[in-house]
Amino acid sequence: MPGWAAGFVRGVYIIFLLVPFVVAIPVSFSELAVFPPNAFTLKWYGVFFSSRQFNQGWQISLTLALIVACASTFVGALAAIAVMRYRIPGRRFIESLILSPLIVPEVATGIGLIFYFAYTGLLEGWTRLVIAHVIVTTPYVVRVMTATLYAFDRSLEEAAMNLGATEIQVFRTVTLPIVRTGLVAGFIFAFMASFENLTITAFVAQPGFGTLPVVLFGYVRDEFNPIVAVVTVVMIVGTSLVMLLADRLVGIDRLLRLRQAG
Amino acid sequence: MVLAAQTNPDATPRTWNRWLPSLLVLPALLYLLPIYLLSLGILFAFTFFVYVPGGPLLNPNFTLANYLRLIDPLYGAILLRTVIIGAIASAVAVFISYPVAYWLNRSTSRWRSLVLGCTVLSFFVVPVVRVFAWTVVLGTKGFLNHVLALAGIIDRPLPLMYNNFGVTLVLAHYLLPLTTLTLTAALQRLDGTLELASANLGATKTKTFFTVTLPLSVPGLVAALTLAFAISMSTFTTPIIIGGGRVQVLANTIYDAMMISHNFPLASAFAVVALIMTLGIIGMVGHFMTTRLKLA
Repeated sequence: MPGWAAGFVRGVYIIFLLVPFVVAIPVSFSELAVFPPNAFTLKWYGVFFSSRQFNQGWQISLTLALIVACASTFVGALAAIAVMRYRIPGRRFIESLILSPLIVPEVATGIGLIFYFAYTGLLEGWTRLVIAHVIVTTPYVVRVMTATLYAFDRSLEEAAMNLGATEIQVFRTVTLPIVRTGLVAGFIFAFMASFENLTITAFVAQPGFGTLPVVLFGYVRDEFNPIVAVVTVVMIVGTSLVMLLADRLVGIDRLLRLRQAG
Repeated sequence: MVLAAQTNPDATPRTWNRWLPSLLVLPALLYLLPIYLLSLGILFAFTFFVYVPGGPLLNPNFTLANYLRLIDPLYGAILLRTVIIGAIASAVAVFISYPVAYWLNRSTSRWRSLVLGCTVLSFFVVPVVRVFAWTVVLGTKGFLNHVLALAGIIDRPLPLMYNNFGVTLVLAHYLLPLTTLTLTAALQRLDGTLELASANLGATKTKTFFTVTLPLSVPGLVAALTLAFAISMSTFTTPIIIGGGRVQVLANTIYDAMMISHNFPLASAFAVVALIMTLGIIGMVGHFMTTRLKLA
């Protein structure tokens, strides 16, 4: 592609990508949701941070994402180990089953789950929400762990054993350090996937379990004011902090490589 | 998904029982079989039920009416609009992503990490937020109308939201970070020495691009397009928030049938249609990749 054309498309890309986020900054300080801002006020920040509805949404979302990330890292890592390292019966079927929520549209999964819960009356409140989320977040952990284990050189373990290490020593000093990156990356992806999930939650969550995306989704359909811009700014700042943390823990480049490897 | 097929799980550690490793997948199967798989079965069964407004939830009178609604011109138009909006948005996202992804792999510029950082950041921002942030850009008194008026291009605000244009644009933006990251990963495997060889043999930059780079990028482009299109089939955030009820596509039709009119059989049938279309596209593309491009 000619250099100038590529440069032009890059410019379009970065403007297109960032325009809604950049515009949100001035509008978040405006009295009305208009551009240019019609006044300077911190009013909507005050409304957002003192809103019971939004605060509860934050709490539920963060708690849920934390529980879901722990659970799916555990379940997903074990499954990935079984699938990658052992010849278990029905391996292909089990692997496809675990990964299938990535392909099945979430509307289908969500509607199926709500029928299931409505009929059986099983699982209420948190348990219901956690299980529904774990179904759709575990595939990310499995993919990341599969990629990690695939790159794993088993001769390292054998070398340690030959040098006289016990199985537990090998696991602690060789296996775990190598696999840890995958675990952390899987945890981060599961956490984000749960935190941002709207579709499954909108169908499955019972009253009183409105996660932040669900609360926001309901709010923007009813009202049109600069809170939209305030939330955008707050989310950009929050997500940047999570990104910095992820970069410290795993490194963004490695995180991206693991995400794609499935 | 391909990975496990390529690995060769060698002899299991000798001391372990042959069946013991199966216990490792037990936690996953514990919820996948009795809950996930069963609920997909219930969903499928529901598509054949008769809809009785305000009737009992369970009404097992067999009918094909819910699927036949697709032949109805109203729902046929919705399906067509879904495909057209999805196809345009995916194409736009991939078209803009491609040169950026190529550049992200080759560039040593100090702008590279900035562009990559912005891409990753917007990838991780909660999708609902990414969508509704556009309302202050596209509104009648929004940013874009203001800029266009300042430039003297328009003298009264353009309707940029609540129509097909707005939904397509925001959907393309929604898909953009994903297509960029997918393409960046795919193009990493592109061998730069082939381009050098082409240049050494006297090809112009443009010729090298069209005869070497672009053909080698096809698998990545196809993968990104498929992924984007599959997502656009079933996301209802953009059509609901940006379309404001005036742009009916498959996803918000399902959502409305479920949450507003409580026509559960219709919602189920359309959800299954979305599922079949997604699987169909992925299957077709997979077939194309293996037969035409000889990529196993």
